[in-house]
Amino acid sequence: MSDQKTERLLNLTMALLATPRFLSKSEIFRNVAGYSGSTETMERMFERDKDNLREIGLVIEVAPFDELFDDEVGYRIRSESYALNIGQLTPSERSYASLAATLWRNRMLHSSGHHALLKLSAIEGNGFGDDYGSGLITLENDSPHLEVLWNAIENRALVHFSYSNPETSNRSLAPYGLSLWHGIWYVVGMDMTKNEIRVFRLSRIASSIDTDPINGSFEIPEDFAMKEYLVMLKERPRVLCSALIRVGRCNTLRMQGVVESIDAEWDRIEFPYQEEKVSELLWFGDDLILQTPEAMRDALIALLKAKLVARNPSDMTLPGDNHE
Amino acid sequence: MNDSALDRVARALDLIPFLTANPGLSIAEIAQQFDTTPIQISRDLSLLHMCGLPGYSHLELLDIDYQDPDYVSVSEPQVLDKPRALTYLEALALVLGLTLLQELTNDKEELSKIAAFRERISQLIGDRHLNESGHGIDLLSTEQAVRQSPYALTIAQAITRESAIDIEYISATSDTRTRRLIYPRRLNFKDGVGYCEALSEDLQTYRTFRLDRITQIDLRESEQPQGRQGESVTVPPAEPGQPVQILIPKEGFAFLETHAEIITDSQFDGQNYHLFLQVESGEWLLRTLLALPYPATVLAPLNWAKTLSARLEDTYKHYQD
Repeated sequence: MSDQKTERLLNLTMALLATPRFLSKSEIFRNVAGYSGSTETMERMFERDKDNLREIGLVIEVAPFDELFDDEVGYRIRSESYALNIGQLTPSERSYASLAATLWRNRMLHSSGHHALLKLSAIEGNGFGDDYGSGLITLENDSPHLEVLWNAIENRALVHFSYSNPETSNRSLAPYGLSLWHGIWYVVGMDMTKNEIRVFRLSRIASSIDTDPINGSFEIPEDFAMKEYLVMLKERPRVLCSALIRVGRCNTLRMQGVVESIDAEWDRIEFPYQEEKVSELLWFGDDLILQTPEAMRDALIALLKAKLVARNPSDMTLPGDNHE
Repeated sequence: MNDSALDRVARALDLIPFLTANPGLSIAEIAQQFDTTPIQISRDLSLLHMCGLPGYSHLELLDIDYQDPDYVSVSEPQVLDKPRALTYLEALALVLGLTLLQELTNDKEELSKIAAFRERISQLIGDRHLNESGHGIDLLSTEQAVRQSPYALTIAQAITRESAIDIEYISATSDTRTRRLIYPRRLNFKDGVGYCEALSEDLQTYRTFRLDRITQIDLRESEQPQGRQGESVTVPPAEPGQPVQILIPKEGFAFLETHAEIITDSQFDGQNYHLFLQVESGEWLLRTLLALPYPATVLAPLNWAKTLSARLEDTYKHYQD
């Protein structure tokens, strides 16, 4: 049965694609292999077939079969809407396509990228080279929630989940968009409880996501611009810092600033830096002495003091620890 | 495998143009490309023999040739000679992937080529609204999807050519520069950070290098290796089998997310997280803890706790007037 249906759908697609004019149903039933039975049976079959072909993305045009009489309609598939018309790709473009299509390591985009590549390589002359589909660059970015949320965005359906930040609470969201930033997925949408647009990190969703069965229950505002809500994309202000760094050390920092030699042990560096990231300068330990700005230096000293107090030097051993 | 009739129609519509453009592939190779079994591909091809245009004479049917029982070509694709248009998600995967590639190079010529190609793909499906239902591409953003790694595409080229690269690398643990010749094999971005998996110069061991710690890179064909400095690791290793334990205050919640892979157990007492870690490099851990914006303590091993304490004291001394 499945073979017969597959064969009929393929024959129908080819017939609708080959015709230069609209085909009436009676022409289709008469000429396309696979239609048999009473007119009513064939009508039902054809309606299902049309729906099926639309499900796989084919655009079936419907128009009056005869311009003078609009009571009978005809059908066709335009080759312009059916086919991928991108022409020849250069060797570089083939390489970029291969890299771009295969880098995704999440189910949704991985399979879409793979199909895109198959289609591009089915254009005559576009046969891909050694790096075809090789996944030379991979991006580990899967999330079990990605596909559910994307479908909810497409269907404009509300979603419900519990969210841990770190306290856990139940959320209802009208999802507007998804963003991948530094390997982390975020969903942006209208938080129905708080009645404002919020950003949620997918890895903090602590339950499965329930999708509301009603589609089209919200509209994404015309002027919605996801970027406005993704604060991490915004350029953070940097201040010019000055520090002494030990000769031969602080190598990653040296790449970001201007270095001048002071003596055999120390260099001076001036570098732009985000004030709120001052703690990260401690990664260099005593190989770096921050000099200015004064406020950042004070913050660093305060943090060092807090860390020294917290280490609890009088009780360095664990209960029951017999070392030393 | 129970593919529906519709799955098979979609695959068949893609199979014919693919075989037309890529003749002489084996059934096994085709199955691999289409992510299905050779048996399924053979069934599809048998079915396609029966399909064609109304009339259905030998001139109107699809014509599939077998040069050998296992090697296939299509000599008459009828109207199916062109692949189907990209779906919204297929185009999206490409456009977003290309956006990402743009962030992985600092070569101006390469950047403009990628941008032009991205534009071509975007135009296939409209500027903002990619399909009839009006779903805009900005509903899925990958801006800054990974941390910038200007050498990624150069390394990808080296992988394709199977050539070596000479890199200058800043050790992730000891803050020392080394030069070395490596044979890159794979690039992987994890949590937004790029890593290059490469064979060492003697082709014996695999090493992983963080892309943002590569400061210089030269493509080589078969050059002799450069001298390599030793790395100075100052934190002694933990005793085998001895768990590493740290204490992080509750505002350090993000630490648990970022380093989930190395956390083997955690306890929360309402104020602090007591974490048990699987860590190989003490140097890495101590520097990471030093750089946190809140106090974090090593509970075990004891020698690591003492080293952390000494480093805090040494650093603090610099700021005592």
